[in-house]
Amino acid sequence: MNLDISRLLRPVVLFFVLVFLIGCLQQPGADVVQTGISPRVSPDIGGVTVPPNIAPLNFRINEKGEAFFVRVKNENGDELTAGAGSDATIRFGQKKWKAFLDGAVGTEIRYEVFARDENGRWEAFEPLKVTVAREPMDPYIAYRLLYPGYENWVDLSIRQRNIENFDESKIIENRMIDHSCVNCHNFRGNDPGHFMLHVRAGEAGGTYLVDDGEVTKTNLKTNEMFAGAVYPAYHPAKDFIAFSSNSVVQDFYAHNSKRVEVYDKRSSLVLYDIEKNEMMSCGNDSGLYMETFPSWSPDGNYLYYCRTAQVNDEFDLKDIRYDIYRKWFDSSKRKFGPAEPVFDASAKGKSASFPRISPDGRYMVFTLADYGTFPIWHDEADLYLVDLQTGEFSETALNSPKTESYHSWSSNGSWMVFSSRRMDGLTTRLYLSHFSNGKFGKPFLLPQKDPGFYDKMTKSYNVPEFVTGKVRIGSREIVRSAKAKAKAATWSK
Amino acid sequence: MGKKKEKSDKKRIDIRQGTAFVSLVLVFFTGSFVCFLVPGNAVFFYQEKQSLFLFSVEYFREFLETPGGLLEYFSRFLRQFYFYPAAGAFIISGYLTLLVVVLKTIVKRLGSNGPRMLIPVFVPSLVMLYLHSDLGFMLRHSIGFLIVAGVFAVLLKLRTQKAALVGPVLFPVFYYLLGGFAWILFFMLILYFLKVLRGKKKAYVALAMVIMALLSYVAFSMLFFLQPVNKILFHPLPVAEGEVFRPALVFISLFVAFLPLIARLSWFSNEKVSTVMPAGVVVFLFVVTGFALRAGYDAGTRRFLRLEKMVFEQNWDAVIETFENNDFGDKISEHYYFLALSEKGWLCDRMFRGNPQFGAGSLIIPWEYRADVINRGGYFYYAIGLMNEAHRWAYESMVTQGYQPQNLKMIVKTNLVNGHYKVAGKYVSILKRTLFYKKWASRYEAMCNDPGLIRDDPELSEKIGLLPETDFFINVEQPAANLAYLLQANAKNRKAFEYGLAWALLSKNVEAISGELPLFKEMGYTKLPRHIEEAALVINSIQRNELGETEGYTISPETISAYEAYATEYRKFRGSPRLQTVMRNRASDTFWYYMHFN
Repeated sequence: MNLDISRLLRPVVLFFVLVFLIGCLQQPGADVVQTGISPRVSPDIGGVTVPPNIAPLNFRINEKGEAFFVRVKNENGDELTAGAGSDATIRFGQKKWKAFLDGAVGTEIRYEVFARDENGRWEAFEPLKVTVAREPMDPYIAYRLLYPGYENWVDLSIRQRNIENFDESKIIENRMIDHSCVNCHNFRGNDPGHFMLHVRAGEAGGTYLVDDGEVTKTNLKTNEMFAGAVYPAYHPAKDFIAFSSNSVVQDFYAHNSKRVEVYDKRSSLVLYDIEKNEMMSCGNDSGLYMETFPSWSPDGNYLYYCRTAQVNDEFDLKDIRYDIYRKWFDSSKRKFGPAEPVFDASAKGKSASFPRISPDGRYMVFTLADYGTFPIWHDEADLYLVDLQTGEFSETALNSPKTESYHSWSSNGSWMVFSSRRMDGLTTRLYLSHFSNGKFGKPFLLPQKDPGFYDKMTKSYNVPEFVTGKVRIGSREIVRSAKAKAKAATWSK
Repeated sequence: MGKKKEKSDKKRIDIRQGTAFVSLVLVFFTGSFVCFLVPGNAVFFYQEKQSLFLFSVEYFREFLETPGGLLEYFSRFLRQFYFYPAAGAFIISGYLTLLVVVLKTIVKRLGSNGPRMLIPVFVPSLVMLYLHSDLGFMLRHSIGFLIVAGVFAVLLKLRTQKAALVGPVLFPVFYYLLGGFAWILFFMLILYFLKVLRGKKKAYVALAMVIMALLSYVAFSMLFFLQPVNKILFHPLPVAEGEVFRPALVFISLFVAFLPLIARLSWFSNEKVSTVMPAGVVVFLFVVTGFALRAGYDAGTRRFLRLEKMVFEQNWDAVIETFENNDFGDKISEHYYFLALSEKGWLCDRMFRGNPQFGAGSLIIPWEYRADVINRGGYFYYAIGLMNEAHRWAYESMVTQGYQPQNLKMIVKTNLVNGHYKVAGKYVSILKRTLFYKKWASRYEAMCNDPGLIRDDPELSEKIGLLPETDFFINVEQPAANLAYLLQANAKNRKAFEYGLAWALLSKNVEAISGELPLFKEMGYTKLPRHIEEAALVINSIQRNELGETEGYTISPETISAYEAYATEYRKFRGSPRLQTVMRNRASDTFWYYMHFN
C-alpha cells in the first residue's frame, strides 16, 4: 500500500496555519495606537506590590474592545502573554506565571494592555506596573465564610486558601456537626499545627484545641464566669490562650446608613492554661471596665486589649469608645501586671478594636470606628498604625470609604491581610498589602482564578489569619472529637 | 392446530390486556392531570417558591457534593416549571404515568405478563399521587423511583450474565447518581440475581453487590464527600429527616424492591385469567385514591396559598376582594389583608369590611425563628418604609432557606430603596440566571445601573419617601413601637401613621386616636379616613362635643347618618339576643360594630 504522507498531513498543516493566523489576529502588530491612558482593570492591580509566591493576578479589562491582549514583562526580558475575547477576562497559566515571577523577584513587572476595536485596530494603554517584593507571604490564609447577615445561620465553614495557587479547602464545615455555629479560629503565631476554634450550640458545642494532630474538645465556661470565652488570643510560645468573655447584644438600625450594631453589656479578660485546664482572671478590672479583643505581643510578654468603662443599665451606645491598653504577663507565675495605656482612642473621639502587633514588636495596627466594639458594620471603620517605639500614630494606606476591619500580620511582618467592604459596602473581601519601613503599600484583592468571582459571591470572608502551612487536621477529625464529652475547665483563683 | 389456537388465544389476550393497560394509563394520566391542575394547583405555587433553579456552573457544582445530588438537581430543574401550574400538573402526572409504564415493562421482561400484574404496577404511582398532593412532598422525594425502575428495566434487557457483571460494577455510579434510591435498586438486583442465577453464581454476584455497596459507602463517606452519614446514605430520600411521608415511602421502596418477587408469584403471573377483574381492581384503586385525595384536601390551606400568590404578585385589589368575600380565619391572611389595604392607602377606610378577628395581633407578625414567619412578616416593614427591617427579614429568610424568588426580590428592592445599588445588582444577577424571573431581574438591573430610574418607579419612589430620616434601633420584642419611632423619624410617613391608627382601632383605644387627630392636618389629609370618622364620632359622643366637627375636619354626612342609624338600632335591640345579628347585618363593616361585638 502506497501511503501519500503529504496528502495526509495537508489538513493538519492547514489547521496549524489557521491557528497561527487567528493567533496573529488576536495580537497587536506594529501599527498600534497609543491611548496614553491607564487601562481600567478589575481587580485593580496597578501600582501594587505582590509577594513572589502569589497566585496569578488575573483580571478583567473594563475598556471597550472586541479582543484584548496582555503582555507582562519583567526586567530580565521574560514575557508572559494572555489574550481575551469580548469577555475581556485575562487569565494566566499557573506554571508559566510561577516561572515568570521567579525571574522577577525584587523588580518591577509591567503589564502592557492592548484592546482591539471593531475596525480591527489595536490600541495600547499605559503599562500597569506591579512590584514583586523579595519577601514571601505565608502560603495559607484561614478564614470563615458566612453570609453577612444578622442572627441566623445555616451553612458556615472555616476554610484555608493557598495564596500560591487557587486551592481552597475546608478546615471545618458545620453541616458535619448539625449546623452548629463555628467561629473564632485562632492560631499560635501562624502555626497550622496549633490552633483553636469555637463551636457554638448543640451537642458539638465547645472549644476545640488542635495540637499537632490531636483535637481536644473543652468547655471553658466555668461558674465563675458571667459569659463564655469568646474572642481568643493564642499565646505565641506557651500553652495559654487569653480570651475576652463577653455578654454580647445585637440591635438593628432603622436608618439605611447602618444595619447592625453588636455591642457588649459586660466583658472581661480571662486566661486559659491549656496544660492545667484552668481558667483564670487576667486581673481585677472586671466590673470597672469592659475589656475585649485580647492580642499578644510577639514575645508573649504583653497582652494588648481594648478597654472602656463598664456601662450602666442606661447608656447611649454612641458614647462608648474603647482605648487600647496592655498588661505585662509573667508566664511562669501566670501573673499579669497593671493596665498600661497604649492608645487613647476616645480622646480622638474614636473607638479602637483588634490591636495587632507586628512580629518585630514595633508596630501596632488596629481598627478605629466612631463608637462601639463591632466595627465591621461601621462604614467609617479604618485601619490605623502606631509606631510603638516613637508613639507616632498614622492612618494606613489600606483604607477606603467603606469598612476596613479585621487584620492579621504575616509571620515575617511583611504582609497584612485585612477585611474590607469596599467592593459593595456589604460583603467582606480579603485584601493584601505589603508592609515595609513602617508603610503599607497599595492593597490588592486576594486573587481568584475567575476575576469575576467576587461579583457572584454573596458570602463574606471573616477573621482572616495568615498560616505558615496547610492545616492538616480536617473536618472529619474535628467531627470525631465533637462526639466526645467536652473536657470541663476549672477556675483557678 | 391446537398450538395455533393457543397462539391466537394468547394474542387475543395480549391485545385485550394491552388495550386495558393503555386505557387505564390514559385514565390515570388524565385524572392525575385534572386533579393537580384544578383543585390541587396550589401545591405548585408553594413548591416553586421554595427554591430557585439557577443556570450556572457554581449552582450545578453544589449538587455534585453528595450522592443523589444530581437527582436533586434534576428534580429542581423540573420543579422550576411549576411556575405554570399546567406544566407542574403535566410533570407530576407524566412522571407517575411513566413509572407505571416502566414497571409494566419490568414485569413483562421478568416474564410475568398476567393480567393481574396490572394491579401492582399502578400501586406505587397511586400512593405517590396522593403524597404529591401534600405541600411538603417534593419531586426529589420520589423521582428516584422512576430512575431506579428505568435502570432495572435496562439491566433486564441485557443478558443475565452481562447484567450480573454490570450491576455490581456500576453500582457506585448508580449510588452517586441516585443517592438513597440506589438501595432500592440494590435490593431489586440482589433479589433478581438470586432468582435467575444458578449455583454458586448466585452467591458470587450477591457478594459482589454487597462488597461494591460497602466500598461505595466507605469511599463516599471517608474520601469523596464531606457530608453527614445520614445524607451519604439516604439523600434525597426524606427517610433520615423524620418526615411524615416516611411510612409511605418505606412502603413504596419495599414494594418496588420486591417487585421482581411479586412478579414471580403465580397468582400474578397467571396469564389464563380475565383482564376484567384486575382492570376493575385498578379502577377501584383509582376511586379509593380519589376519595383519599378528597379527604385529605385542605381547602383552607389552598385558599390561603391562593391569597398569598396574590400578595406575591402585589395584586392588592384581588387580595382585598378575596379576603372580604371568604372566611379565612387565620392570622396571616388577615395580616395580608391589612397589608393590601395599606398598599392601596385604604387601611383606615376599609379595614373593618374584612371582619377582623384577631384584634391588633394580625396587624404585625412578631419576629420568630420559623420559616413560615420569617418568609411572611417582612412585607409589613416594606409597606411602611422601614427598609432595613424588611431587608433583615428577607435576608434571614435567604440565609436559613436559601435563594427563593420572594426573598431575593425583597433583597433587591430594599437595597435599591436604601441606595445600595451594588448589593442589589448582585442579587439581580442571581435572579437573571433563572428561567422565570429573568424578566423581572432585567427591569431592576436597569435601576442598579442607572439609579435615576428608581425615582421613575412608582413603587420604589413611594418607599423612598417613607424612609426614616433619623436613626433608631428596631424594637424586635414590641414591633408596634416601631410605628411611633418611624413617625418621629419621618413625620410625613402616612403608612406608619395609618398603621398606628389601625393598631389603636383594633385595640379599641379611642383615646389614642383622639390624641392623633391633630396630626391629620400636619400630614396633609384633606378628609379623615372613614374609620377615623367613625372613631371621632364615638369620641365626640363621649366628650359630648358637636358630632360633625373634629380637629378642623367636617365628618361626612354619610358617616353621621350611619352613626345615628346605628345608635338608634343599637338602643332598640339592646338586651335582645338578636342584637348582634341585627347590628352585623346593618354595620358589620364599621368600627362601631367591631368595638361592640368583637
